[in-house]
Amino acid sequence: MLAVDVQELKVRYGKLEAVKGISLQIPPGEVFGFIGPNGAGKSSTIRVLATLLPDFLGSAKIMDLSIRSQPQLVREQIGYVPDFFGVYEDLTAREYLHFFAAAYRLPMSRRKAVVDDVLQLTDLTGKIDSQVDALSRGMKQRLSLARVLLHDPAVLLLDEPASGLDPRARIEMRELLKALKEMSKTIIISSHILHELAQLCTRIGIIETGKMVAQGSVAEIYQRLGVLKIVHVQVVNQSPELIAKLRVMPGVTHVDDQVDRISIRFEEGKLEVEDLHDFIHAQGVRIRMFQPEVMDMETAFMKLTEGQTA
Amino acid sequence: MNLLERYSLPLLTKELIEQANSKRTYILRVVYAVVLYGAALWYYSDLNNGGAAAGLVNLGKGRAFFQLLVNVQTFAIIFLLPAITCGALTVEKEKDTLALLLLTKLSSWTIVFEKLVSRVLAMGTYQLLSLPLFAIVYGMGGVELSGIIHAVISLLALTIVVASVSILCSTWFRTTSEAFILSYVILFFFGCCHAFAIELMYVQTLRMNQRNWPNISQGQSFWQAITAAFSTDTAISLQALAICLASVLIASKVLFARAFVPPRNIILELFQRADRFFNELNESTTGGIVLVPDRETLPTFQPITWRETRKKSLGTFRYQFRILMFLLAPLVLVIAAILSDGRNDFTSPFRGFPAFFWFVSVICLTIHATGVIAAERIRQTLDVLLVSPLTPTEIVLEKLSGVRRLIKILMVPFAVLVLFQAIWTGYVLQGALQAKQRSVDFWLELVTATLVPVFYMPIIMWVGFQFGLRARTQIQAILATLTTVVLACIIPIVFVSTFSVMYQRVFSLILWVSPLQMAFPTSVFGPGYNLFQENTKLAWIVVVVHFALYGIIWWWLRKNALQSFSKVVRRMEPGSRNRQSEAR
Repeated sequence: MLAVDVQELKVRYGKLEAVKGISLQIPPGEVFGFIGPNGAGKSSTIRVLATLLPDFLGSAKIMDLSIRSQPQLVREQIGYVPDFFGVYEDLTAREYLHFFAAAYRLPMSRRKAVVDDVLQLTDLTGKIDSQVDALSRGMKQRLSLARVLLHDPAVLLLDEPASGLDPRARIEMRELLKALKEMSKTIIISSHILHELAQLCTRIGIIETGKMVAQGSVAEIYQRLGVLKIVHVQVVNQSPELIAKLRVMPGVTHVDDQVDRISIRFEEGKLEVEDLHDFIHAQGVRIRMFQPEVMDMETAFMKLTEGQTA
Repeated sequence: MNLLERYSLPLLTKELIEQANSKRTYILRVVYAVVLYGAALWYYSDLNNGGAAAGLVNLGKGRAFFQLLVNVQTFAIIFLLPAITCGALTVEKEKDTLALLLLTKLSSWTIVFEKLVSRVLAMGTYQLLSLPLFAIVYGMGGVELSGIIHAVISLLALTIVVASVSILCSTWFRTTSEAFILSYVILFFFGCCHAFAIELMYVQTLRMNQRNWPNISQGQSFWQAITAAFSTDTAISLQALAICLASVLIASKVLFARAFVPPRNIILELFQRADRFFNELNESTTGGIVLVPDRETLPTFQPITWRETRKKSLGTFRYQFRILMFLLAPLVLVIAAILSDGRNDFTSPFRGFPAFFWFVSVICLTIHATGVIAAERIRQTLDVLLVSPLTPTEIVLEKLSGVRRLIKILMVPFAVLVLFQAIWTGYVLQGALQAKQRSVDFWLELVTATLVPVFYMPIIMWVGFQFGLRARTQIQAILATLTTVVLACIIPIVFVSTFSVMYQRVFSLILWVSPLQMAFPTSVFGPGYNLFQENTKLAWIVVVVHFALYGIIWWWLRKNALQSFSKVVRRMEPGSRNRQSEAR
């Protein structure tokens, strides 16, 4: 059984087609990172899964429950954190959590224990009787996460949960999400903090103009993008002959002779990094620096997208 | 920088472009034109006895027509202008864009002034719509040029005063609703005891046909007419300008200080202050005895009801009791005065109370009912609520639990009034009425007085809820609800006034469709006759039909609200219509 199964999802707002046929299959326990520029269709997809967008084409299921025909049952299975806080500021943290415990019909006998547990998990026990409007942004976001954990949902839908948080709050949020990952929750998370997604997600999907540009594990995405690799080299006794030999080497596509380094671009399948190193060394030059370019998530994102919106 | 750049008024330009790009501008203008020209057509038709006579017969009858036009314009200024002006700066605050404006080289004075001018110009376009009608009126005769000039100046002065007060409130308050309500409070204050009373008085005296017109004979030149009109209207103009200048100056002085005020619940703060006062009073008088303590409980099974009745301003028992006292105290005082007076010969000792109770009830219910969903939207908590497993019926009914509780509170003064009126007319007046012969059936009056609040208050609640659900802002919903209530009251009256000449008494029964007529059955608001006094049997039938009709309206509004809730808030439900697949 898939935790999330989306087939050919299309969402349209008037003349604007925000999502153009996205398909997702996420098994239970996976953390799926949704990456894309603003207006790419991330929030629309998450809102469909959260049963908050009835006008869509295609099929969407959560824990084998159809969003279209069984939305009430789907709501029992999901926890949704929107891209804004969504907290009642006239309540205390305790009242806020008991409010949603009642809304999710938790048995009275279990409520206190569950509220205490989620507060402990989100490190808000000390703030239990604080007014929500007196909490910091990070605490409010953690309170939102505490809310969605009350009914122990199988799937968490987190729309930009780290947006607007300071570095400390972002790190705390990341640690909290790691804890949830260890609890085997299926998590769909959209974010602009790309390197954090890389550390957290088992799989990522890059979306642009309503289409899924790439989907797979972080390693798979890197591999796909890493077909052309770059190595930056500094040698002590550089000569024009070395540059000429590198340019005709099998697998090398481009050699850029820069002021402080030589940038060598090559096809990964045809030439290994180690072979390149051996070849340069064999030319009788002393290598001061040999640095394969580390492709981070930002680079992957920039390579895969063109900065367009739907 | 050349002169043109220095005085380019960029904010005014942006505001006018925004107004021009908004559909609402054109919709409102068309609606206003329809109302204005519809009223004119209705009146003209009435003047001609339904079209039977025309032409020369109408010569010299322009004054009454002119008075009607001035009335409609006055109504439009008072009703529309605060609505379009109060959001001028509060919307910037709500969208967090005022800070960006303050960072530019525009001075506070310029910002306030350009915002004011943009709204006055918008209102000016509504006023311009009436020019062709003024030309017809002038052609009919009975109105002199100086009279028209005077009316234009008065209306312009009224526009400036209303817009200035509204822009001052918009600068001072955090939300549009607060600015809107306080604008009317200040305008009411002006209307009672200040220069604004003079503006209204001049306009009203035109309507009442009691004003001495400027002493200009026919055939005087245009400039003589203008000079004469201006000489009489100088005071009005100067007062309006003084109010405008003072408002703009105060607004520009406080703009920065009030730009970043946090949102406040003024009603709650008011209650909390009253709370502190009464607690101190209780401490000093009784030593702190509390008969019904408020318990701090957590939600059990109806969380939304818990929040609506425990955490909202009108939630706790103490606050509700105080509202009740506010409404009941004057009534109890009057009852005590009547009982102690010993007189038993007057039949309606509480004529003003139903009007007062209705005014307070309609305002309270409208504000509360329109705000239940609007508040969730403003605080961005609606989505979070919608993803909970609560059904739409549960959400709607629980959200309205606070309003239903308010209705129960508001019913108490009505019940006291009805009960005392019943005892008074049924027993106290019995002796006195033997001589006078009671003219209205006791049970008919009692049943009508009981059913009126029981039916109308929930209907107002559902109308307010429906508009609050659909409108973009609460202020729009409040205006739409109040307009619906006013229209429901006056349309049957206008209808009967228009056609009763042709169809006489039978047709005048339509008057009783109006809630206003049913709420005050012993007064007659149209050209009909007093049904309750003249034909009791027919009155019973009319009452039954009326409340059956309003019962159906009540049932339909409730059903529609429950069924359409998910669709309006775009929540997926089993069997939800998918417009995308339908469009395919």
